[in-house]
Amino acid sequence: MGVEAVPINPRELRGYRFGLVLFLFTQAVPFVVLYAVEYYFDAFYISPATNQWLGAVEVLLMILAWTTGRSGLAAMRHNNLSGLISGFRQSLVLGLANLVVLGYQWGTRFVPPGTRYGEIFYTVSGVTGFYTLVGLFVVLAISIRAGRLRFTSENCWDAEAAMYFVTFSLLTNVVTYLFLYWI
Amino acid sequence: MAQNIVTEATPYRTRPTMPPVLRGFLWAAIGFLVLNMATIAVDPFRGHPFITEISAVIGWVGGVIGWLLGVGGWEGVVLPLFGVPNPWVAAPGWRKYLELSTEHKVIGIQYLISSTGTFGIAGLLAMGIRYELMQPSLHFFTYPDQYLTAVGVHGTLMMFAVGTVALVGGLGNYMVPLMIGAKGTVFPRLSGIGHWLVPAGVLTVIFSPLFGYWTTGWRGYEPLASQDPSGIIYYYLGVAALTLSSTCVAVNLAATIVFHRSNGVTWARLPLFVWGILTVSLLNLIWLPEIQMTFVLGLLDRLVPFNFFDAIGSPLNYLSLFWLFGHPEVYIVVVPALALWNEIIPVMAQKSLFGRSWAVIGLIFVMMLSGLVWAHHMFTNMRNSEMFPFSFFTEMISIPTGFSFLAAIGTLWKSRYRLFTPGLLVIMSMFNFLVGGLTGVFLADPPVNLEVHNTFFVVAHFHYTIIGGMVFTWVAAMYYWIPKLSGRMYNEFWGKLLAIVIFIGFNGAFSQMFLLGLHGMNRWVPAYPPYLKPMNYEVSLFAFLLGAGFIGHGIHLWWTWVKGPVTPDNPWNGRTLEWLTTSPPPPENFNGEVLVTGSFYRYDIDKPAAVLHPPE
Ligand code: HEM
Ligand SMILES: [Cu+2]
Repeated sequence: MGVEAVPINPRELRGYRFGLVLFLFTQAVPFVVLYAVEYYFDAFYISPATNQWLGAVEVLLMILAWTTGRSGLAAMRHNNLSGLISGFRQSLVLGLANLVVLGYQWGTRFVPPGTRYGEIFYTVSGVTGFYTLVGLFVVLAISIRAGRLRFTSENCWDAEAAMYFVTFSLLTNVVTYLFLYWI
Repeated sequence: MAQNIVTEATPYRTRPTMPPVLRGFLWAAIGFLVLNMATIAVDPFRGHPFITEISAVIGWVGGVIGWLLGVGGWEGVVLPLFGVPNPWVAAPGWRKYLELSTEHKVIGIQYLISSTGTFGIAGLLAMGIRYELMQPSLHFFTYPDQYLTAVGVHGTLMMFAVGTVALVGGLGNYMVPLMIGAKGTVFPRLSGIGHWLVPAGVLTVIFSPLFGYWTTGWRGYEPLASQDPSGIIYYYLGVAALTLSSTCVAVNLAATIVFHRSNGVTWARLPLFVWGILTVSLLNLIWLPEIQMTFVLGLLDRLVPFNFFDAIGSPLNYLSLFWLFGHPEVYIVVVPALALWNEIIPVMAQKSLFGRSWAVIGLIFVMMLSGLVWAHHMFTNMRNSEMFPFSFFTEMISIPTGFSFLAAIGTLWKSRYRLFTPGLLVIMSMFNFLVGGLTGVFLADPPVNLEVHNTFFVVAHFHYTIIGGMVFTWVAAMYYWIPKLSGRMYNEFWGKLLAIVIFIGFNGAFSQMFLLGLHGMNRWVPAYPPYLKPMNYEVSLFAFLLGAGFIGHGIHLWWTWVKGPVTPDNPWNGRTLEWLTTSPPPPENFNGEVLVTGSFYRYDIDKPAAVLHPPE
């Protein structure tokens, strides 16, 4: 392709890290709004119609997606490019599985949408799912990019960045789970 | 994210076959149609019209994506993200303003052009509003809802595409890297794509009435919004695009300020305007996502439909969520202007900035307090016992705001102020903002507020702060920096004359609005009792003068840009870093390494604040 990755200088790297973390912090704000609105309308009410197990499975899948992605990144730090790519691909599949379970929950309408709790349930889980989807898109893009640009252990910022997104998805999934099913 | 590509190794780079903006429109149309039809295709209920509320939303997303890819996002962002190099070379000459760019100076000008264009359109609507209000009953608009839509589109565009954008996306993008001695920004692609969200958002808001007149004004008030026709949807979406653009700017500039300062630009030396942009960026980063999610909830209310904010939900909850963002928003508009006063005044006075650190502290405290006062917009909906803290904090904000005044006045004190056009406009802006701020303190008093809430007194107050404070300062900054932007100098006579014209037009129009409000003139109604006609008639005449004055400034600045006499690199003898380089600056900003050794605001020492070491 005539393209190769060049190492990023440390200051630039710090700039990227800071910027991305800053961005992810801002993206926590919409979730705060949602949880506040949930509290406003539902206080601590949990609908008995929710399926606790499926909620837990979603979180579990996200934890696994995070772990595999993380091990991919760890492999990259030892210059193992194929390890990175396979780790990210597994992470992608697990993340998609999380969305499939969410889709199943939505499809069955266990939780009736026309209730106060239902409105909150579909909104909060939907927004969380949307952010998960975006994170997965980044993982996919970077796993392709990693192969094309031949990342090295010194130059794998993009993979690190993708993991920031996955971490964000994990956190939002966990907190959403707590708010929807526990408090 | 995608900066680490060696570009020299890509020999086959070309120019696009179709002008990018044209392709943007084409791809936007395709994107809209594809997603619109896809939505219709999966619609379980047959027999809906070709465009429904839901398909219009999903189609809009396709349209915006098509637009962003079409103007250069495909080549400049998506391909590099997947590891394919950008096949385009940057356009030469003026064409570079009409496609995605990664150079902060080009992006800054793009934002300025978009903002100015929007200012013209929204200003035209204002003229329509004022023409209507020359008579006590409908004569220009056909329906009351038409009038309300005009007011809503006017306010929405002015707030989200001008007030929030011109000084930050525009002058901020252009000047901040220069002022900190940087050669570029941290996220150039993000920043480049961010600009093109502005035209997308503006067009969305402008064409929203095609889906039905919406009546809520720029605040999208509930439960009105949930009863409005579908046009309100494009208000939500347009604002979403515009706020997303400002979020991109905030992330990019904040990271740039923290990490790309050149040698010697310590925090203690950071220029005032850069401080202003940093504080505003923090406000943007917190509050723009907040309003976006609020609008998503509003959208869901319509589309699903849910009942978060409508009459069986909680309209009051919407009001709180809106003003939680809304009050910081007014400071997003005005903080860069406060910073600019103290940027321009020391240069015009050639005198050291008085109380520099207090000016900075003022900006920071304004930023922090601005999140604590939102309910002063809702006094009419509150219990008496809840009002006090909000009233208190609102009045407290005038203290840090005052710091900016004190620094400016202290600098002016006994100086030999050079009353060039930018200097004159800054003084005018300070006067206007003083009127706006003082009337704000009155408004923060519940007894006064309950009387004049939703009257023209409030309209006058916020126009004094926004036009009088921010727009006047924007014009001042344009005159101050046009030599930097273009290497050319404006005409002093025309600059001053036009400054006086807008000052008279502005004060003539808006000072009388205070009186109108006190006499019982309500907002949000195109008709009023006939005894208010004479004053309204006069206000409109002054408003037209103001409009003409702004057009005059626009023409004059444009003339300067293309034909004005060539000027030296540092015509004002300024000490900040943007004056260290050529006018206009080279693509890399500085030919060499910048080393800062002194304060930018000390005029009592002859040694320059910085030196430029030419490259070996
Ligand atoms: C000392 C500073 C200020 C104080 C104490 C203050 C106070 C207030 C109060 C109490 C209101 C509510 C009036 C009502 O609707 O009943 C208000 C409205 C408003 N203020 Fe201010 N204000 C200040 C500065 C500003 C600044 C700097 C801006 C903008 C740059 C601004 C823009 C607005 C706007 C846009 C509204 C009306 C929004 C609407 O109803 O559509 N204010 N202000
Ligand atoms: Cu306010």
